[in-house]
Amino acid sequence: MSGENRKKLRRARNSFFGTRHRIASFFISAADTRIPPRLGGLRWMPAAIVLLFALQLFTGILLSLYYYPEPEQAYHSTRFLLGEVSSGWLTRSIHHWAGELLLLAVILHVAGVFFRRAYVAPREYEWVAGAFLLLAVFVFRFTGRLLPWDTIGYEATRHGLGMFKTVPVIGPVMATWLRGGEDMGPNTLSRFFTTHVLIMPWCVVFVGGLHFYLGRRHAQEGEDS
Amino acid sequence: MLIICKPDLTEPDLQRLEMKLAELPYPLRWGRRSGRLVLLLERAHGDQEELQPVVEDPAVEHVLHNPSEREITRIFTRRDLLNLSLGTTGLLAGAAIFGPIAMYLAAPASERTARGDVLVARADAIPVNGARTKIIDGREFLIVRRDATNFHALARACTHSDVCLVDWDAKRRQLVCPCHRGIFDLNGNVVAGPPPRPLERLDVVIHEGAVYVRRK
Repeated sequence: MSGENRKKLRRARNSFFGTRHRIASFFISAADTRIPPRLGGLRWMPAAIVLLFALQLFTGILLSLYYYPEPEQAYHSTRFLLGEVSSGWLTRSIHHWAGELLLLAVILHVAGVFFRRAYVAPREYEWVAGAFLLLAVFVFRFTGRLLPWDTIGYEATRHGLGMFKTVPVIGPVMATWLRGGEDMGPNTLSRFFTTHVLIMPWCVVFVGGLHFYLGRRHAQEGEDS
Repeated sequence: MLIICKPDLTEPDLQRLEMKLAELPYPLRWGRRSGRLVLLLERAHGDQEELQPVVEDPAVEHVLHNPSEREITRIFTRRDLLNLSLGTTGLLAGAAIFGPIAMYLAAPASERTARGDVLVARADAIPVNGARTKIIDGREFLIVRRDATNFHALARACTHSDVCLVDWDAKRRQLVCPCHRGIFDLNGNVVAGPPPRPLERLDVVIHEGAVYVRRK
């Protein structure tokens, strides 16, 4: 840690929050993190993923302000957002393209970890948590695509649920659960909306937190990433 | 030592001052304060004789021998200029990000033109010959759909005795007050019974498939 950093930390520790909540210890541990001397092998990808996810949270909240999760209103409110709301098209496009980039970044991250053999002991749990996060990205995309209730989203979801039905024994039951009935309707939209904006973000925050914490611990213990 | 020069120095003034300052062995900072050239000699108690030519220069207006910290920081230095431009850039960048967000959060133009209009329901949620009630500014109104395109909004309080509220009689296509059999037509005019005046009515606006009542 450089002298300048030490000075900053002392200031943080003596600040209003620092003296009350020991918030400085967080910054101390953050400042103590060893950055690999060379950030090759896509080791910077997690930062890009966190940044894109934060962007998705922010634009997602903005979008939810104009969105109604009800079949008829869903399509109209999306049209309204694109046509009438100032920068509505921009907000939606950012949400869309950041989602695409997020998938790309996650795949590159997985590839990097795989080819560096960074999943070997003691990082197995990190890898497993990461696998769940990869799954979460797919769930986000699948549920998000239906929300505008346009033809593409409707058909894509219908086909996706059709694939669920082909799973032996539990398939039809699972499809019915996800649909909230025998046919796609308001229940489906409601379920997909809740999954997209409420369940998945919190899952990602907790599983991602674990993934991040384990990565930090292993890095501090000098394990190669 | 803080040397405050006169305002509007000419080029010869500056050259003369520069030559005198160049002979001094002290580190020097300079800046601007309210348009005047201000010089700060780091050595507070310098050799008085050495400083004499500078202090007596006609371009110099005022000399502070022991300037306070505040007097010194009031000099506008190159670093201050850089800080100011960085700060301005930061503010502009912030405005570029948060301006569109503020515009996004503001109700869009089509909603703003409907300011004062109260949303009742989607048009297809009210059947023909059906009615909806809506409280507008604390008073209850009946919104009646006469046919596919025509809606009427009438105050429910009967003009005969305003503790009674009129109802929509779909069969007779009239508004009926249950208290004293006051009967009104869809324009609010009295058809029968004791009411002395027609019902108050408000204009109805259809906008993108939704029914709004326009406040007076």
